[in-house]
Amino acid sequence: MSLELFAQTIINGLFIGFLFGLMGLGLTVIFGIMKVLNIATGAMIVLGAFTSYWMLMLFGINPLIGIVIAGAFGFIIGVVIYQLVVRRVVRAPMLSSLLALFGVMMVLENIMMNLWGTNPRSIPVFYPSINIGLVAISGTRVVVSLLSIAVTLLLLVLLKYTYLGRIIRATVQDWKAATLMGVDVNKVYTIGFALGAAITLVAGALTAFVYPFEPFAGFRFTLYAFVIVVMGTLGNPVGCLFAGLIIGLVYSFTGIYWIPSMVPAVVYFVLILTFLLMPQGIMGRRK
Amino acid sequence: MLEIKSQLGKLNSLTLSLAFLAIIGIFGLFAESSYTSYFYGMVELLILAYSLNIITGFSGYANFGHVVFYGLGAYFVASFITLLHPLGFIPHTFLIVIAAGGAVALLALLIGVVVLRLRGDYFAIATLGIVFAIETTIRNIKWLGEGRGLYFIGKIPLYDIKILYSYLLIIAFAVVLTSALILRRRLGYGLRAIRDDEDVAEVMGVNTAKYKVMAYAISAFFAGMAGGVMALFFSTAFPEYFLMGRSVEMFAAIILGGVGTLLGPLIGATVFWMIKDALLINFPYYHLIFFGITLIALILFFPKGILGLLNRLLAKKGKVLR
Repeated sequence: MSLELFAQTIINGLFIGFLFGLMGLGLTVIFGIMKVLNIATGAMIVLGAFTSYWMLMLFGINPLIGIVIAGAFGFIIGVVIYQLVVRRVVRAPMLSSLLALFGVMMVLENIMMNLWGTNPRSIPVFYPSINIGLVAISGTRVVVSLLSIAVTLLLLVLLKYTYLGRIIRATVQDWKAATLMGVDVNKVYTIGFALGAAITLVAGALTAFVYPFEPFAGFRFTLYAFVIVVMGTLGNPVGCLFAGLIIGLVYSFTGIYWIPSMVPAVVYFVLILTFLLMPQGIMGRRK
Repeated sequence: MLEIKSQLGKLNSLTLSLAFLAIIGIFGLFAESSYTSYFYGMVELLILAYSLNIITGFSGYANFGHVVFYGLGAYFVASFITLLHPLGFIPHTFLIVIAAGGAVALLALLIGVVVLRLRGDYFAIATLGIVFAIETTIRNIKWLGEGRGLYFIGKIPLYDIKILYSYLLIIAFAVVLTSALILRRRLGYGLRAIRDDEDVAEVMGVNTAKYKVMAYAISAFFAGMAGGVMALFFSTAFPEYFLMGRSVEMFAAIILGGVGTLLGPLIGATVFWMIKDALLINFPYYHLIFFGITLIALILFFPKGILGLLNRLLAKKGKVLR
């Protein structure tokens, strides 16, 4: 085991980890606000990738701007899905919301399949890699990571320092009390879900920089996002980022030192360990 | 009086289920072979729906990974036959199917002890992941044929679909009777207490951990056998048996019929299979879109399923189907 390979594996893992963190972020925002687990995350990630891809292919729009468009599109999709489906199951047992969103996932995936086929596609972007001593850092991954961090910071600022953020936090703490204080909880949930969907589609647009994608590629990402969200303490954006880094490391170490296709199984093993050893996640306080 | 009435209600449901199942069985057995495969799929879904109902319907634990037991059952049958064939001793294949079901149930005991410590969302996530974890693991084990599947063609005689269909029918009757039995026994009351409020159930002295694991293993047993028969059908166990969509089909079936009831899975599976087939034939490319929309609509507008609707009609006569 050479030192170069080891260092390179760590670097690769960290610089993909930020993206994984962003995938979990959309999920954790939605869960944090309305306790609904968005199982359609993977499908939304792929949708984001496709949005950016078609913007580039049809109108020649730079993928960096495509990210913003994907975010806006995600917001709209989020509002629509919330109003049509999620609104009615927000207070229902968890099984209902999970299955309803599973239906949403099927609809999204199969619409994409019928529109665009199942050939894997990718966005041709290339940034030169940077050499530092022993290791080389892929420029594309650096860009993706920086943008992921930027989105996370933006969200934190939004939650912490704006009026909307304060309303959202109030609703999270106690939606009944918030209602009594004059907060339109339904509106907060709509915005919350749309925000989560927007982040997820942005994560998808960034994923397209690094991985090829096809309509059914998403479910793997849903699993990763779930693990990251649980590990980073449900509903905690900062924890999400750190957990993303951990999963990034697990991902790259499994890929380099074992078999790449075993990644989902190893990630799952990590999930079960997390459940059993620290169900509160890395940011949680032990009770 | 109320007690007697509810007992009567259960009896009715059981008789109805068995009669209904017998009718489906006879249709399938005496139809032309090409139609038998239609009924084969229906009865298979029925078994899966009933077995899922034992854990998800009775105890309220949303098991998204039920398909894993189906796939594992197929792999156990394939492994047993591959192992036994060099010895020159192969028992009756139905015995192998039962053995595979037993092996799956044992495995479910082990998985259940870990996974059933989780509740709600965590349990759903964990079971969802199991499918992925086990499928990728199997795809990477050479002895199990990796992505190609584990073949045992030629090691057992090829079966007529009607024989395999009768295997399935026996399993189907068994799972209906088991469900009815569970509902009447301590286990059933315990499970429903868990569904209503697990903490209260535990305080009241229900051994929740034991009951949940038992229900999980029993449900795995039947799903495993259904998968085992499927392996006999193709003389192969494929990794494709672990299709996530199957888990959703089972869910759709029990929700369509009525979650946690005795008659529900039967109605749900039958109706679902007919709808699915009609959609598949008429809209080969778009059927999954319609399927997704149907699933959403069901949950939003008919959370109690067809049985719920029937009961609303029967309420005037003071009858309740379960």
